[in-house]
Amino acid sequence: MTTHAQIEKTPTHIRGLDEVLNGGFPTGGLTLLSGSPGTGKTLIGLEFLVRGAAMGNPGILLTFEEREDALQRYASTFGWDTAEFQNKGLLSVIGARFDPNALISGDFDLSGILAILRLKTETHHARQVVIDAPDVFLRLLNNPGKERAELYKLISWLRDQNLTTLMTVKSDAAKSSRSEYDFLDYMADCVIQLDHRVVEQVTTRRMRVLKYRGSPHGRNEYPFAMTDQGLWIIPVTETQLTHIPLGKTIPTGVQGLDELMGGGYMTSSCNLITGTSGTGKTTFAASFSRTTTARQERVLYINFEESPASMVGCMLSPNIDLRPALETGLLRFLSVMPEAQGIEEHLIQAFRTMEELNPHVVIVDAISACRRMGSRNSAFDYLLRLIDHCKTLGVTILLTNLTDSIKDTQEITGIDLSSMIDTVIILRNVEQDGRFQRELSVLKARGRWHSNYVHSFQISSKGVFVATNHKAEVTIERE
Amino acid sequence: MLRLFIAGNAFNSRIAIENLSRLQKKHPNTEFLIEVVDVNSQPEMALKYGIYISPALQVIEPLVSGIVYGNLNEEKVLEQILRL
Repeated sequence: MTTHAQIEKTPTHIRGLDEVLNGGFPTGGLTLLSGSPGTGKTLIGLEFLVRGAAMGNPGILLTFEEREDALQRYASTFGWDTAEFQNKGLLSVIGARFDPNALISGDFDLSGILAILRLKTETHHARQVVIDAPDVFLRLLNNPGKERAELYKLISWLRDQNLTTLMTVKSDAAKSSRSEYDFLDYMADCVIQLDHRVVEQVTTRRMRVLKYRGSPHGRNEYPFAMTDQGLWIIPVTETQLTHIPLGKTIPTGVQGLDELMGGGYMTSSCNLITGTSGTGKTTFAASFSRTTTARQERVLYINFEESPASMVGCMLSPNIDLRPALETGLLRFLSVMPEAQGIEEHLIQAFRTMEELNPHVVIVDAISACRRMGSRNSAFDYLLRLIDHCKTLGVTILLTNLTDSIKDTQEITGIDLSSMIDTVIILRNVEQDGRFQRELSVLKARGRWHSNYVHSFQISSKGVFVATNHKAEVTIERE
Repeated sequence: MLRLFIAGNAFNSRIAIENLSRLQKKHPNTEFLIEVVDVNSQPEMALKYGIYISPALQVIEPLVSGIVYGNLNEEKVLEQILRL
């Protein structure tokens, strides 16, 4: 086996970023971060230095845009005490601003900046440097050729000093203004692009690594968010090898259903209940929730359809009392309107709640509502990452899906997730002899035997009952 | 009182020094107090006064304080700020 020399990396300790970069920024190299205003460039730089300082690695922030006190206030909103790091010599902020009243007479260069950078890196023994928005300052030179020459000089110096550098540059896809800095893309070892876009009135943030010299890296666009603790980039596990295999069988909580599919759901599996409106999807989900919490296992119920109070009330009718589990904290609701935020915020909210609760089961009711997070693609992005995250942790997932017509139920999810789903149960209301008959079929149950028949079921004040005999009427007493 | 920030032997820094001494010769009756600071050997001075660009001429007193960036090749600008 041949071993390839891996280039040395400096971890950023920013959530998810090291995973995308396969370790971190290139040590002693230049990482270029471009993006339009407000995409989070300064924040990435700041967090890189703050996280580094917290690990005892001194860093320098040279900013041409922000005032030092403004940066300090900004950092404090993420709970970072930059003043404390500065006192300890672990962080040094240089706010390079140009006196607006200054006169200009003849040529000049950036030797002053280099001298200051040298002083700072030497006194603090800093190995990591963030240069924020040098383009703002360089424009003062009012000469594109000279701008390039000065920037080249600065980068060469940073390289000679073997400093791990992150440089932010503004970009605007709509304008050609960026083109004069295009040469930077060639000089940099690693180029990261940030953007935020509005899809169907919902804003989402995306990150993409355009280039990483001498290193593999994630090539997709990754959603990311600014949380109250800093940035969070959400990669998808590159391989599915980290997924925990399907485990033991656990009951569905619906009488008769377990017998139709080899004993119930399997742990670490992803299960889907699909059907048109009023077919009983939420009742199945609530039944599963109740039976899981009865075993003292924890359930996170992500509800895009109704408020916890309304759902708990409705479920009392089929005799599913969710209140005891809510009181003991075994059941936690996460109810949020899909259009309230972008998919990254939705994901982070879910991941955070999962961190706090450490659930055995995650229920999403209903995934069809996820389309309202923006588009079909947004729904796919959200669910893919959520399922991936759950499967990596070995959490059992139950999804419900609302379809518009019976025909659509054949499509399974409508969001192209079928390959990730282990069990599919279809619920139907079929008109027969002047009344609606509830029918259920197990379309798929990966790795297990399952019934191929259509079964009838009933929801009554005593719960849900599925007839295990093919096409047999459920016989239960009517009240 | 003037403070001229230069960067070692850099081209523009040399020109700035030449331009300033030419101005001195042109106005023999005016007293110039010039402190020359090399940012390369005294970077802490550059940091203290926020000099990120060089050369830079700081006008301290008795005139209204101000700053001129560049190699000072425009005599008129210089004369204007120094009230000559």
